Order: sequence, then C-alpha cells, then structure tokens
Amino acid sequence: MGSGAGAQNPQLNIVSFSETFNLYYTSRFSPKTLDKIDDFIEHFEKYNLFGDPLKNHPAWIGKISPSWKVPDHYENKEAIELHARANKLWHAHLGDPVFKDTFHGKYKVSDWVIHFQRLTPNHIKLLELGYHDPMDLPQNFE
Amino acid sequence: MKTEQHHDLVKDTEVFGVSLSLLISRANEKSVTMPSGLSREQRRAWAAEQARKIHS
Repeated sequence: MGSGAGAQNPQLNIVSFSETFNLYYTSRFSPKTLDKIDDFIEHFEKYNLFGDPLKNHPAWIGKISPSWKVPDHYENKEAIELHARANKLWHAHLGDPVFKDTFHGKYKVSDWVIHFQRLTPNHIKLLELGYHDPMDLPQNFE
Repeated sequence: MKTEQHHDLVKDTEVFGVSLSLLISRANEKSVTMPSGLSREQRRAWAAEQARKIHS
C-alpha cells in the first residue's frame, strides 16, 4: 500500500533443480562447470532466456532450443519430437569448456549443453548436462 | 509387446548427449526451487542444504 512495489510488479524468473541435478550441483560438477551453470542461472533470473530488446535485456549468449527440434538425420526423430515436446524439454549451450562462434553470429555454441524443462515462460527446472559436438549438426540447422 | 518396444526406443534414443529416457526421468523427479537473487556462495550453500534434507 503506497510503497510503489506493486506498481512495478517485476516478473520473477524461477529456477528449480531436479533432485539429481541438485546432487550433482553439490557434489559432482567441477568448479569451472559450476561457474558456467551459475552464469546461466543468473542470466535467466535477470533476463529470462531470450531477454527483451525493448528493455535492452540481452538474450543468453549460447544457442537455446526446444529439444524436439532435431535434425532430420537423427534416429528416432519422431520419438524425440513426441516425448521432448510432451515433457517440455529444452537445452542451452553452456559455454563449457568455451563458447565458439557460429558462421551467422546470432549465438554461440559449446560442447556442453544444459538440459532443462521450460515449465512456464518464467520457470525452468535444470535436469542434466550433455556433451554434444556442435559441429555434428548441419550448418543450416537452427 | 508394443509398449516394450516403444519403451526401448525411448531408452536408446539420445538427445544432444543425454538419453531421452533419462531426461524424462529427471523431469518427473521431485524438484527444489531456489530463492531468486542469491549470490553464488549463497546458492551453493542453499543447494547443499537441500541435498542434506533430501538424503536425511
């Protein structure tokens, strides 16, 4: 009442861990990987995944994709599309060990990606890290 | 039989470095939700406390 906080009403961006991810976060990941995960969490909390150009909020520097968008050459493409979509599975390139430039420059890629559920536009649940050679994708795949 | 085959298909399918069945399993696990705006030190302490609670 009268504080003005309600008028601003900033939309909170919420991060959850699966219980196994929490276990790995506390006992398994290297300090460098933890820093990369924290970079991603802090970016999401401040700017969400894709930022907001109108507010000068940046998108995450790494490529972010729904995991049901897979190249045509993937085996079991239909199963991936069905289950990844039903479970709201997404992944983001984490910059671990380093970010690499792409030919179009729209985002960067890395060997390691972080898998998460995008439960709502403002709530993600971190699930697992995956090693994935970005050079394995066709150049025109986005 | 059809269900078993379908299950095997999911189990053997890899999505960007992780098996699809593992991701689905993690997605269906209980989760812990962190307070926002923590420093790194606070976040790691918070996660350690959650791990302690989960395994106690």
